[in-house]
Parts: sequence; structure tokens; C-alpha cells
Amino acid sequence: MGEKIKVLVVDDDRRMVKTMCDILRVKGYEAESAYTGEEALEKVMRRDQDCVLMDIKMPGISGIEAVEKIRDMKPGLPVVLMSAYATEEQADHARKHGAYTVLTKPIDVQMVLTFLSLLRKENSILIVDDDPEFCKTLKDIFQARGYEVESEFDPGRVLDRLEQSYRLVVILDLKLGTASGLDVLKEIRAKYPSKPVIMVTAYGGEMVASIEQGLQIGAYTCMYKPLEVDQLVRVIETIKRIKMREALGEPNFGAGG
Amino acid sequence: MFRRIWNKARINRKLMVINLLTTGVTLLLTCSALMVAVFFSFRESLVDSLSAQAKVLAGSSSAPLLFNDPKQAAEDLRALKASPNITRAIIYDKRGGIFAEYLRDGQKKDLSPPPRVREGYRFSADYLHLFHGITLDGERVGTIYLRSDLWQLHSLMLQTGVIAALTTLIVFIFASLMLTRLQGAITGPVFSLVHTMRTVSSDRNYALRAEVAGEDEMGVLAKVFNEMLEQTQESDRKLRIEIAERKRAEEETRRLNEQLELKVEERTGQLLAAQEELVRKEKLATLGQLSGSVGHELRNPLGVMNNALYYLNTVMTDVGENVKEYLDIIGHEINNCQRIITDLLDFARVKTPQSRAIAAGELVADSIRRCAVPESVRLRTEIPETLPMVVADPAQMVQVFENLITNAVQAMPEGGSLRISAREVESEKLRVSSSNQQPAASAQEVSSGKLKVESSNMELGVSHFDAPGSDIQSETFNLKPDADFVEISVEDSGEGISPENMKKLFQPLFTTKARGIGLGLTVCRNLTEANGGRINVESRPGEGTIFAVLLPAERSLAWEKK
Repeated sequence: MGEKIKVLVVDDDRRMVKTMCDILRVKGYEAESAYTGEEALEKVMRRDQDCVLMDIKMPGISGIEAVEKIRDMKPGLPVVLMSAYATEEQADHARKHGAYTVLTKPIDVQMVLTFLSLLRKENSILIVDDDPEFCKTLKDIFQARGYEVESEFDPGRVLDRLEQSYRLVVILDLKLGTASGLDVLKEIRAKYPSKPVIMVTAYGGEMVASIEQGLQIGAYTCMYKPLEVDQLVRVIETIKRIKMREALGEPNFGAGG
Repeated sequence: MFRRIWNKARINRKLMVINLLTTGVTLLLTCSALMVAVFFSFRESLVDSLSAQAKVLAGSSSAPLLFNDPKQAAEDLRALKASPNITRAIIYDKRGGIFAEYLRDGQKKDLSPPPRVREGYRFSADYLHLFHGITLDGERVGTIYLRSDLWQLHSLMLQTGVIAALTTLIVFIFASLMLTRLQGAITGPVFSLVHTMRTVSSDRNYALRAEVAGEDEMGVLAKVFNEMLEQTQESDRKLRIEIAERKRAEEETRRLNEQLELKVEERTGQLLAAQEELVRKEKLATLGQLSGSVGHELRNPLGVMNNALYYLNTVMTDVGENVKEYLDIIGHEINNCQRIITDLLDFARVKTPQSRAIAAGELVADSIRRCAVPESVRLRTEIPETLPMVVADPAQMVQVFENLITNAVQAMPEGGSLRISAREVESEKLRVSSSNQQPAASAQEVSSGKLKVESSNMELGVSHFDAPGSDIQSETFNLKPDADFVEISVEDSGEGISPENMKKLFQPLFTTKARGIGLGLTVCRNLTEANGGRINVESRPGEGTIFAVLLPAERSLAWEKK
């Protein structure tokens, strides 16, 4: 994967920061430390981070305030909060304002490491469409946003592709030349029941029955061409977020099973 | 002395004495008067007869005197022999010298000198002396003296006295007899009245009446007494009624007092309980705050320790067994501390469950994974595949089962068998049992019956069936209505729980362990109830304990949606 994943560890307890950073470094991450919320914001501004692990209770601005500010500055940056004893209101508030989750100290280090290992992994998208133009433009858009994108126009090879490497999400056109996208969806769901699949189609009117059927057997959602790219990005971000939060032990409802 | 005897004497004796006394005095006076009269009249007649003889003698003596013939005179005097009572007679001459004398035969010669002449008569002690002048032609020639003895008078007086005495005696006897006979007429009613009075007084029988005999004072007395009795009886009756009423009132008062006392006792008990509850709640609130801050302060260093341990474990890959063991010990103790803090914090505040459908088997498997079950404990899980999913917060319920399994293992320090089973419980049965107000008992019967069917070695359940009176049960309520439940039981073969501990089982800070703060089961209950379930416990000291956790089944959730 080339570059090391950069993690910013923020806590007013220096020993906590040190131990956490040491573990991360031993595990092959690049760890940076900050001891206040302000310092954390400064470091987030100055350098691209892949993830922030931050305590809630700190002198100066709290972890929750810092999360809100980070979301404004770097919308996609995953922030995981840590707390010795956060109230539910605090946790809800933090989640609403962009924190992935609130972990209770002592932190399950293994779980955090698993989560971090997913940061890069949960970045891959498979586009299944027989329109090369569509594939190309989408690929460019998502690669620009740091995603790893592959495309496939042969419905028969979709499962092979999924077998070859992990994909966060599949973007599936319902009309693949002569083949039906719905059949492909059925195949995917049979083998990967929890794989999120986003259906796209240019023929909203004609395909209503297929769309309904697709949603019924577990497609995550359906979008219409021409695609609203921002909307698609948001959907994929959400899916990624859900996946990542699952790794952190967060319960998910309606994750598209 | 006399007065005392008199006062003591019966009325008939008094009557007798008074009567005899009266009669005696009357007779005495009468006889005395009679005797005095007899005495004087006899003396007069004595004087008269003596005077007459003296007159006769004087007539006959005048001649001898005149002729100075004393012999003739003496001869004349001798004629007095015919009168035996005259003992001495003397004729004096003119000058007063003795002319002739007569002495009665048998009489000793009277040596006493002749009395001096004087006129008239006089009585001495034994005699009547009489002088009578002898005259001749109007000239006094001498005097005659006669002396009569008083024998006749004395004998007459004696006779009269004897007759009087005899008469008195006879009269006394007659009077006594008559009194004895007749006084009954007076004393009879008195005695009868007295008897009646005594009876009334001693028996307090105011219904008795005295016999009214006649119209006299006794009759009046009896009548008045009867009237008094009448009044007494009436007032006695009223009094009795009043007493009865008072008694009833007193009884009523006593009863009310007792009720009042009971009520006061009850209220005092309630008050005390309320106060205790208040104090307990205050304590718990303080404990909650304390738990929060202590937990917070401890979790940070624990976090650092945990991180440090993880780092060491990661870095030190080729250390000796001893170091590895020590690292494990540290890890284990960190987990212990963490669990205590979690209990404390969970006790201080139960989080809203993040419920979802999850298989009972998965919950149990997760829980067992977190527990260190020693090899001396035989672990058996009997969870049918066909069970519906339960709807609960997995993290919270895993915490509950982890706690229960850890408790079960700790209850069997020498080893034993740990059985974790699950089964369906229909809400119908729970509803029926709660309408009987014995939810645990009925639920237990169901459970016992099932245990009996499922497995032959479930003596615990069977014996419960046989001796329901000895059941020791504790339960918690907060069931969702109309829900089907899945019951997950953790059953150990440990020492069991004593009845007195059973009551306090779910109380915060109650523990029988040397280590631990006694919040585990409280938290289990709180968490289970927050998840819409409940925990039932049954235990047989020496045989083991079953903790049964009822959780709502998913099926009911699906129904609710419909």
C-alpha cells in the first residue's frame, strides 16, 4: 500500500498518548501525538491524517468540540473518540457531529488496530457497467477522492472480481447489454449476502419492476442516470462509515445486511 | 358487760327478759302492798282484841282493887289462859305498884321488870304492850297491863309471803310458756325478714321478696323492704345493663385501641421502611456519583496499563514462560478491575439498550468466550436451533450472562457441572401466572416440568415440583406484556444460596464473596429489566442454583410490527 497510515493520537494523559503511539508504530502505523484539542486541530490542518484517536475530556476544547471543527475542516477524516466515562448524550452528540464512535477506556487495542487496517481496505469500489464512458468518468471522480476503483463490463466475471479482492461496494447497472443486472445482483447476494450494492439505471420508468425486485432482495439503493455524483459519494461514504463503525463494535441498523 | 351481752342477745330473749322483768316487778309490788295491808290490819285487830280483853279485865278487877284482894285479882287474871297469845298480864294499883301478875304457862318467870305504867299500846320487836286504866265510879283505881306475843302476826306474814312467792313462780312459768308460744307472732316476721335480707345481701338476688304477715309495723317493714328491693332490683337491672354496655364499650375501645396500635405499628413500619428506602436511595445516589468519578479516575490509568501491556506483549515475542505468565496475570487483573468499574458505572446508570435481534446461542457463546471456565467445571449448553431470536442489547446481555456464568463458576470452587440451557416460554403462561399473582411459582412449575421431561438427572427441578413449599424464589418484574419469551438458564451444582441471602440477592452492595463490591447481580437485574426481561432465581442450599433470564423473543416483535 505504499505510504503508512497516519494516525493522530490526542489525549491530555501523556502516558496514554505514548503507549498508544508506541503500539501503533510497532504495528506499522505512523503515529503523531497531540495533548490538547487545539494542538490536534492544528496538526490536522497542517498534515493529512488518515485517522484521529481522541480523548473527550481534555482541558481547553473538548474532544467533541474538536470533532465538530475537524468535520468542518476535513469532512472525510475518520475520528474515533475515547472516553473513560462518556454519557450517552455525549456519545450521541459526538456521533451526530462526525465521530465514528466513542470507545470506552481501557481501549480494546485489537479492535482499534482492526479498524485502522480497514481504513485503506474499505476504499475500493467495483463498477459494473457496459458503458465504458460511464465507468471512466466515475473512476476518475472517485480516485480523485482517494478511492480505489475498478470496472467490469462482463456480467459473468463479476463474482471472479469480487473473489480476487475485497470491495467495499458494488455499483451495478441494471441494464448490461443483453444480460440483466438483476441476475448479477442475485448472484452477488447469493455469495456475499452483506455486500452493499448500489443499482444505477437510466430507464427509471421501464425498470420499475426490476428496481423494486432489486431493493427487495437487498440492494442498498437505486440511483438514476445521469448520476448526481455528490449524492453517490455521500452514499458510499455512509456505507464506508457503517462498515468502519461495525469494526468498532457499533451496532448498525439498516446497514443493508 | 351487761350491755354487751344485751347487744348480742337475740330479740326473742330480749323480749322474754323484758316481759319477765315487767311481770316480776308487778307481782312484787302487788304482793308487797298486800302484805303491808295484811300486816297493818292484823295488828289493828290484835290491838282491838287485846283492848277488849283489857276492858273486861279492868271491869272485873276494880272490885278486888277496891277491896284490896290481890288473890281475887290474880284469880281473874288466870282466866287469861284461854287466850294463848297473852303471855303476861299485870294489874297495877293506884300508886302504880304491882297488885297482881299473870304469866303464861311455859313461860319462864319473867325477870324483866314490869314496864312503867303508861296509857295506850306500843309494839316492841316481839310483843304488843297494852295499858288500860281501871276506873270505879269515875275514879281511877289502877291500871291493867297486857302483853301479847306477835307469833300470829308473824306466821300470817310468813304465809302471805309464801303464797306470794308461789304465785310469782307460777306466774313466771306461765308467762314464759305463753311468751315462748306467743312471741313467734312478732319475732317470726322479724326473723323471716332478717333471713330474707341476709339472703338478698349474700346472694345479691334482688328478685326475692319478704313475706308480708299482717298490717302491723313488721308488715309495713316487710312491705317497705320489698319496695326497696323492687327499686334496688330495678336499679340493679339498670346497673347491670349499664355495666354490660360499659363493658361492651370498653371492649370496643380496647378493640379499637388494638386496631389503632396495629395501624400505628403498620404505619410506623411503613414510615421506617420509607425512611430506610430514602436513606438507601440517598446512599445509592451518592454511590452513583462516587462510582462515576471513581470509575472515571480509574479507567484512565487502567487504559494506560492496558496499552502498555499490549505493547509489551507485541514487542516481547521471545520472552520466557515466567514473564509471559506475569504479563497474563497483569492482563487478567486489569480485566478484573475493568469489570468492577463497569459494574459500578452500570449500577450508577443503566444505558438505554441498543436492542436488536440476536440468537440466544450467539449471546451465550459470546458470554462463555469472555469467561474463564476452569477444567474442573463440566460445561454443557443445551440451546435448540429452533429457538426464536431474542431482542436485546447484545453487549448488555453478554455482560449479564458473563456475570451469571462467573458467579456460577465461583459457586463451585471444587468443580461441578454448569448447564446453560434455553427454551421458549409462551407469554400466555406468564400472563396466567401473573394474574394468579404468583408469576414465579407458575413459571417455575413450567420450568420444572420441562426440566423433568428434558433430562432425567435434573433432580433440582423435580424436587422443586415435589416440595413447592421449600422453594426459594426471587424475581424481578418489568415484563413487556403480550410477548413471547426465551428463557436462558444458567444452572450450577454449587453450594446454593441460603434463604436469608436469597432475599438480599439483588440488593446493591450485598455480596458473600471475599472480593467484589456486590453490584454484579443488581446490574444484571437492571440490565435485564432495561431489556424488557426479568431474572428468576431458585436455589436449593447444597444442591445448586438456577438463574433464569427471560428475554423477549423476536417473534413477538414481528407481531408488534404487524
